[in-house]
Amino acid sequence: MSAAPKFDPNANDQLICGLFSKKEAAQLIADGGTHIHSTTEGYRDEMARFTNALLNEKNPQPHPWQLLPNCREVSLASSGERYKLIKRATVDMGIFSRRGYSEKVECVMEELITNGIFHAYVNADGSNKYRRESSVKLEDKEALVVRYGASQEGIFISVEDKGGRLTLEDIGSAFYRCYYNPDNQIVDDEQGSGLGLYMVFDLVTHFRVDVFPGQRTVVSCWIAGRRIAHPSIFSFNFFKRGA
Amino acid sequence: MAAKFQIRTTEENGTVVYYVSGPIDEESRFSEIEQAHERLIVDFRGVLTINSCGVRNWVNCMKKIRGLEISFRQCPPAIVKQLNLVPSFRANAKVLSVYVPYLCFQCDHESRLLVEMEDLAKGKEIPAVRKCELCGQDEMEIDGDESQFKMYG
Repeated sequence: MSAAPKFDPNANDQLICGLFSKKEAAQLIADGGTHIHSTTEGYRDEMARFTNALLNEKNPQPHPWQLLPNCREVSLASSGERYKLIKRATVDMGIFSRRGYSEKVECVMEELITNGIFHAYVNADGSNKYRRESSVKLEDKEALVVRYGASQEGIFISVEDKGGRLTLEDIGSAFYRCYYNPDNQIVDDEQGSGLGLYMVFDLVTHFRVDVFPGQRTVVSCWIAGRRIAHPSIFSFNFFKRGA
Repeated sequence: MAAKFQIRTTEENGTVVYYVSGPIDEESRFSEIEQAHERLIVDFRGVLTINSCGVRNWVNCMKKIRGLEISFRQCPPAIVKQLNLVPSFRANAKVLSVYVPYLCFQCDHESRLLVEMEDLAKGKEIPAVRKCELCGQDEMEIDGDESQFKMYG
């Protein structure tokens, strides 16, 4: 039996298991942690073992909670269309009338979609291509791909942009600021508030980011059913491809 | 048709009450509230959703009315979530009441119970279990962490 790996903030792709709050996990992520599983089972946890098996893969497979074969896939190229898409998703997933559940799903989809539209694309000088103050129509090649699906156990949501700009540092600094600097959580920026990923991470059970630098970013989330969900059971995984 | 964000104003016993309703997002403006110059109550009962830019706009509004006596009442779970996640959302406001969501573990029915913070401060408990008005079973439990709804003090 191999010993549980110890966390080395200078190393990449290491699995950290324990029983954490999301605030504690945020610290680990800010320190460079890419694979964090909070679980009562430690390194024996099924999902953690799954992650462990992915660590050295060039093209890591989806986690079991990523309902890719069974989910709906919708293309979104206009910021103004997002509310309609989100509402439709809650209807498709059969949770429209379940307010508590649908509010979480709407929040997660809204934040991931707006992140994709307003932060994934830049001009040649590095400035954001699309400004949040106005309705945005993406170019065809930039359209987001939104995937969602529901099962008895929970809800799967993913949003893929064609920018590939999200970094672990972006996520870590946003989480750290939001969890550890309550007086300075909000970035007063016309592009956003800096709260979006924090709000998503707080709501979801599993959070996974796959970045193909300069090509695309896929942010995937799993919201466990309310009878199953426990605030201490969650995971964060960040995979950077082609690194 | 999608609900629109709006603010309606009334007066109750000499205090202006602002009823905020609809989705709160980047387009939501709180200019009526920002112009307040005396104590006020914000009633959030009609709020459907709030996104991160809506939170920012609200926090900016709170900064502009800093120093006034502000109370929040009838806060739905979406607002309670932000009160817990973003301390500056509340700032120095007093929370008067919140809606606690319940879920029936028998039939999935949902309901909300309005809880007055004054009652909690006096020692009244938020019921851990309620009878489901749909299936009649005593199976309705709080949907979420009970502690996040205790906002007195």
